[in-house]
Amino acid sequence: MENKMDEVMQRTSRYFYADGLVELAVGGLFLAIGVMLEVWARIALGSPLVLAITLGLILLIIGGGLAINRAIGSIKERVTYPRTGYVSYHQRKPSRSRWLIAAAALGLAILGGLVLPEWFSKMALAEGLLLLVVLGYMGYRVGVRRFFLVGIIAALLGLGAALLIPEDLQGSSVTFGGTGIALLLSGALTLRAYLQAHPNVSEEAP
Amino acid sequence: MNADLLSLVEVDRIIHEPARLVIVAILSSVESADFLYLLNETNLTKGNLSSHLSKLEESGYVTIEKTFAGKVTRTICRLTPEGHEAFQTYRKQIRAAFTESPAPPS
Repeated sequence: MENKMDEVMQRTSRYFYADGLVELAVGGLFLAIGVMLEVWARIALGSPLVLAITLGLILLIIGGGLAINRAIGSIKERVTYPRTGYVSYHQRKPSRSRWLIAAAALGLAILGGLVLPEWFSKMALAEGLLLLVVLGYMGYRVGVRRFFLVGIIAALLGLGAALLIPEDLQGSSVTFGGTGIALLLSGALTLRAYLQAHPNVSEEAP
Repeated sequence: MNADLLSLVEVDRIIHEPARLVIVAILSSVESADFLYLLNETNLTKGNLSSHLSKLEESGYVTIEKTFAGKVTRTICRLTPEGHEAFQTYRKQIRAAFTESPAPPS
């Protein structure tokens, strides 16, 4: 009975990801970051464009996070809530386990930097592992299996980029861009399945 | 009677009813949810859900508020602090009764 209640509660948490919109938004952001990193890698050092790209990247990361929240809320209001209902979640403070996971990922990255050979692009591998840990944790917490798959893809992309691309920025570009595309695909498939399963209906109050 | 089993007899009957238990479990994990979401998740009829929500509201466990999202009405349901407490107490009683009572003879 306890398990059934836990399942009901976890399903409610999972509902936020049921339409794939989060993956589409985050995937778009990752792809944009990947493209900017690629442009950065191709610009000659000392070019005035480097500063513009650096600032653009910072703005994209900070502004993108804020924009994603607003965009997801607005699209859910039109797409998800009329179909399967509205849910508002508690704003939770970051838990201790989240800090521990972030510390573990950082530790792995530092260890990788110390142990791995010079020709190995450490940045891409660290980013791939970090994405695996973050997506894996999210998948475990809310019980969304497809996040594990995208996390594994991110780690494989990071490993591949680390082995094959000696330039750190280009390696990061492949890791972020590839993970972004994986998230976009996952989000698009999830959204399609969601829309097929739930035709639009309007709420009738009791 | 075993104290843990006795606590099972004393569980809150308002929450113990299966449909209401699902409603309360859902509302306990979110800030609020609307009627349509509860309807989809519980698979109850509109009339049944409405009746269970009214009972929970009468008991002071749930608040129901009608708002507008554009031109559409939205019936927002929230678990009150009393509702949260009652649900936690209910879980403790059930856990105690099921985990600490002796296993049935083989």
